[in-house]
Amino acid sequence: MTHTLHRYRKNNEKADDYVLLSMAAQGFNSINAREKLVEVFKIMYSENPDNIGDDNQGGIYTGKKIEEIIENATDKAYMDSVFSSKDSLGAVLNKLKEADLGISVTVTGDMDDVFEVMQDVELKPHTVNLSLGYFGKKELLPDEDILEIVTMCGHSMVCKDHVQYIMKRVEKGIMTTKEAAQDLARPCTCGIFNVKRAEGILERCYRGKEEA
Amino acid sequence: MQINSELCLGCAKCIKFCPMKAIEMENKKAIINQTLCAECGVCHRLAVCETNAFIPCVELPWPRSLRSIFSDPVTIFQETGCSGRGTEEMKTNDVTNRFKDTKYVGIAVDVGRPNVGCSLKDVEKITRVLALLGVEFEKLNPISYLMKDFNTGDLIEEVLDEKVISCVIEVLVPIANVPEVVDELKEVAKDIDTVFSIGIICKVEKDLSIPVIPILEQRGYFVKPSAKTNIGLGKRI
Repeated sequence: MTHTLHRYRKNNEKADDYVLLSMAAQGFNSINAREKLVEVFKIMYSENPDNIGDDNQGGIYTGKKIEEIIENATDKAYMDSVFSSKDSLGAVLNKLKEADLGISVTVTGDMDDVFEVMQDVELKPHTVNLSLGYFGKKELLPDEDILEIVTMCGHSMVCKDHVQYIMKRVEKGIMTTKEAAQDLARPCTCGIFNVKRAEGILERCYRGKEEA
Repeated sequence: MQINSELCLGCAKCIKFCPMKAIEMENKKAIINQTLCAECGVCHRLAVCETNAFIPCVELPWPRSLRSIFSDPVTIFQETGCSGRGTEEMKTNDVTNRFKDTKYVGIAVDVGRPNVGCSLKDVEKITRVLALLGVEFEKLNPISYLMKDFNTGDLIEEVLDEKVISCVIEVLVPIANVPEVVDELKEVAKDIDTVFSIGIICKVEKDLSIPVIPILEQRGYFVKPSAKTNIGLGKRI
């Protein structure tokens, strides 16, 4: 599953968008991994993520409560979260390192920034998954602004038609960009849809239309 | 997925939530186009219908069940124990050591995302090309379970008409062969009715270099600045 990797960025510009994913390796350290995964989840939550959840249960914007996710976590939980600053990424990575739980964690985001933060907290990158972007019938993809939003749910649960509908509501003043971003996060079961970034994209689009 | 026509008010509010455009209006009622529906379950999960008219199928028959495995993020593929369409790939490589060194590199072809979807016929076009190149298919990947012959890349015929939101084809290749494999993927991209994205998995050297990057750049490929990094916290028990 490569669902955090191909998050689109217009002109490959930097984005304050760092996705954490943690899981036990089935058949290696998965037996009785629940407690450790819950600890990872609590550490992530302690640093005020912009979204958080468990792939198997849902995220906070799907209506799940933090306590509920913790209570129902299993050895097969995939604990996910997303942060919008290098400082908060550094803080959470430092806590995870100190906790020394032995559970694998990946960070998706600008590689230079991630490596820099890792160096600051004395962690070494182990393996990377690099993106070469899209191939094939690219004309079937939504326009770039919408693509930036829909690819923040790597399972493709956020529909471009819904994004267009929400954008119109923002334009008409029916919704604020914050309300709109939170609404768009609802289909993302993993909790990796970055609400803060979505709000920024919507604001950029709205401003662009106003100026036009 | 089905819609109970007696409960449907015909408000059409649900249509915009379907990533596969499978909800249509017929005689002032919403219906599911079963050919287009990928059984992702998002319409039901979001509770977008005020009368709860969506009815998820409790047990989908084979091979339609594949739609849910590849499209619904909360469906577990029993053979791998993983939810979704791929495997743990590099996410747990600090524990599994699946990618042992930089001599071999993983390639993950993510077909159908975002918001386009794909048929398994298109997926087969890609697996056939990869098979001709002599790649090693990841045995735990759900697509590998559907493969009739790893030497040809042919999938089981009965699954070819199934439509899914996406799937991931995972292979292992010697690092020197990566440009050739990407070249061929670029060629087959002209012959499919969907999109795919390519992920390249490589271990990081002690000096923090990533040997596959200069190889790709030399061939003219642009490696996106954003990547997924395994930060090395995992341990075997």
